[in-house]
Amino acid sequence: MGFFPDEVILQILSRLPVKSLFKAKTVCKLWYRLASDKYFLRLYNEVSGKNPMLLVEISDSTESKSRLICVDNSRGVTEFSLDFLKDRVKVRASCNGLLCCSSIPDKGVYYVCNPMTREFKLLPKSRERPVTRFYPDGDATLVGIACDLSRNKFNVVLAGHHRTFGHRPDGTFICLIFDSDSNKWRKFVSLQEDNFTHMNKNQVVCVNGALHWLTGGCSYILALDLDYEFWRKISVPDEVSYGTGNRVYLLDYNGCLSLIQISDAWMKIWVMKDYERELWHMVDRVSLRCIRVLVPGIFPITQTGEYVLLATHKHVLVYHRRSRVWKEMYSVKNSATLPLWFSAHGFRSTIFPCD
Amino acid sequence: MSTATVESKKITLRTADNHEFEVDEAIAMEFGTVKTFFDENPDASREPIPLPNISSQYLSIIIEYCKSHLAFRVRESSSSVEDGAKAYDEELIKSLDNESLKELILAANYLNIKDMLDMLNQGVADRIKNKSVEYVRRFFGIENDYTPEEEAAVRAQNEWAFEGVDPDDD
Repeated sequence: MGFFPDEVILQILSRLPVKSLFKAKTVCKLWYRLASDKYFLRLYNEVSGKNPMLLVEISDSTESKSRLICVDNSRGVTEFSLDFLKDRVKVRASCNGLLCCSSIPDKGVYYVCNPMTREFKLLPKSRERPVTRFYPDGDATLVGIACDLSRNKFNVVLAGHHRTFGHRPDGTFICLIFDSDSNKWRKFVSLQEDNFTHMNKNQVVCVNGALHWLTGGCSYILALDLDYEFWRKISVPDEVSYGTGNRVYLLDYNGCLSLIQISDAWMKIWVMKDYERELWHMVDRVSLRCIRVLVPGIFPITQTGEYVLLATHKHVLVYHRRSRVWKEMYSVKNSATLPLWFSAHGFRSTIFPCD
Repeated sequence: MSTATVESKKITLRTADNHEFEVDEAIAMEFGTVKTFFDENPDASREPIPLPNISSQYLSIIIEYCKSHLAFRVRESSSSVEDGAKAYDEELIKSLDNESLKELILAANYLNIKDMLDMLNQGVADRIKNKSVEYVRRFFGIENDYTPEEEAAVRAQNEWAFEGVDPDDD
């Protein structure tokens, strides 16, 4: 036996960045086995899950290309690259360390990738006969990714209204679901009439094997059950739906649905700890007095029980709940053309495989 | 702040090199193994507890750590308290050479002090993360049991991960 027992080695390995973990596999055969073990993968994802990260696109009015950066508590601000995809892409959804990205030059082309391990999968085209297009602009209204860590698979969802070529839209709502096990798309149709703001579309949340989007006007949460292929509506707390002048955002909270409600003076965090009975609890009420100036343009992006990461036009902030402290983690130096919140996504570094 | 009039119970710990340390019960209960011992033997507090795997050099560091963190926890959580605890941990890790860091991990593992162990393990992870594979082997005293072909094959799985390595400083 080496200097340390295996459990200590596992704990140390689980605290290495992914790049270093790959190097560690070449140390000796025992370490290769330990780092490939199912138990270790879960441990690694658990440890990294505690570190909330925020991905954001920095667009410079002088450059034509934009760059991605990652902001988090332990590493600060780091460059983030999706160059290994060899395509210009836009991040559409994030879940458990996997990103779903759409190609900018090639409409309808989607990738699923793990930016930490640099694995990626080009999804097969979801072609349809007769030829139809998403309506109104050829792009799916809702894009989501769901990763099931226990079953080691993922699903990608593209949903929106379709228009058959040469016909008027007829109100049918198409939902395409990609399954990584079968490597195929399946489709089902329903009748929906929901509208979604930009943030609603960006902030898709995966919990309990279902994808969730908050609807415009915050009337309810639309949930898509991936196994049984149906949509249902989940109510939001009365205080949230009846509150006027409130801005509301849907986030994940340690595997539960959460709503963050922002008014002039307060940020209220609601969590649905009982998913079965759809019961909401307010877990925190945070005074916004010390960041009063930023409040109109502040958007919560990702959180854990300890931290909330938020983005404004030019800043990324973190709120530490236990010590009730706000800290600025990043601010844009030049005049950005797009606000940071516009492209911000929550992210966790995991070694979830995607091919 | 008024001091308690009741004397806090003391527990004696005896190290491998036969030093005895007398600590407040609250501190000793931070050690998972000690806590379990007392949970199962509630009347055993007279005798000094033997710790045959720990030397006095490391037990004194551990006792200081537990005392400091207990004091931090007792104070109301605020930015300065959080930063204070973080600074304490950073200073401690900085002060330890590789050998001491490893020995402390073994001690904290034996005594089952989760918070300290997590912090020390993170310290090792940070110390080795950008180092060469050879350095890591020396650090952990591990023999390379790969053949050159096997090692090259594993390395080729993720060649990009081997870019940007810090020079060895041992």
